[in-house]
Amino acid sequence: MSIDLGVLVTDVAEIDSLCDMASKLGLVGLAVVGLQSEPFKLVSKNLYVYSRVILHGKNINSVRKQIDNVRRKAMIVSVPLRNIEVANWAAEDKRVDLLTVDSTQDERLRDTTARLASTTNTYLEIQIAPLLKSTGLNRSKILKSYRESVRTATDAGMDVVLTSGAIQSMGLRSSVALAHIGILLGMERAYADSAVSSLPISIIEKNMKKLQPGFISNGVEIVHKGDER
Amino acid sequence: MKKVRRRYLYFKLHRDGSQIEEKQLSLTLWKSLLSLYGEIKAADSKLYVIDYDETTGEGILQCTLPSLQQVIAAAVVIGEINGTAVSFEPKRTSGTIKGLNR
Repeated sequence: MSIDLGVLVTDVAEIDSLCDMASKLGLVGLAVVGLQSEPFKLVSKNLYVYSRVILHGKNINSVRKQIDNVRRKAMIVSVPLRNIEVANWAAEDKRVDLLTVDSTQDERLRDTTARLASTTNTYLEIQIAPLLKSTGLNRSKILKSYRESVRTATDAGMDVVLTSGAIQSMGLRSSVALAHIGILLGMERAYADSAVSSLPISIIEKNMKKLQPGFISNGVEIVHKGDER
Repeated sequence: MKKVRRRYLYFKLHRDGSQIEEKQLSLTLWKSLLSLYGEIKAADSKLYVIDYDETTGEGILQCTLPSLQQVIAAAVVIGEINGTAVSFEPKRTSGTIKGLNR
């Protein structure tokens, strides 16, 4: 049982084929960027589609403004690893779920960012799509960047999740397939398994609790209002 | 010479487009393994596609036990074969072909 937290499809027409493929591969959930207004939706017997928002911004203020608007509407909120200031802010902010390694950028995950993220349970996201599209030297450079990021994160106690980053149905991979890519990126077998199954599920479960109306903060929730008997 | 233990992998190749021939699949697997792990590892893997149904995309491949993880990783990162988008799904592994059918 696993959930793919990083589906980047932009075409609504692709959603049906993605859901079919996800069911074939045994996935129970997909987090899709920007195609639905509600945080989650049951699309078939065993498959949920969750909404995901990627916060793009050049400085902390612009990202902070966006997160206030989207956190209650989206199941997953992620920030690409592009700018050290924004990355450190996102690592420290509990409202951000994922810091995404960007294979097109030279910006790498710093040890300080990873240590901040480990204290707030912000996860490092590795998307495998760039690995599927590239070959030779280009793929080698992406592998180098990903392997370094995974090592930095695990050394600092920051958890890593693997996602497909798929823009079409054939970009999806089963949990077993993703776990083998995790091993390719330098993870231990058991850790790679959790990076594709238990960790994404725990993020969704944690955020489901946060979306409940009575939730205030971790450990604090409204169980009984003053005028209720 | 010590006998190297073999492993059999039952897989399904999902595709979005025309059928993939066994020869094309085998060649792409070899190229991917060679590109990711180099000539020595590719040679030591003794990779061989034993059975492949072009219609369903299901098949069995054989490799040595130490190279199994590398063969699967190399297969999984294949994004397309001859312009057809594909997704390789490893299903089951076993030490015998009979074991795969159980």
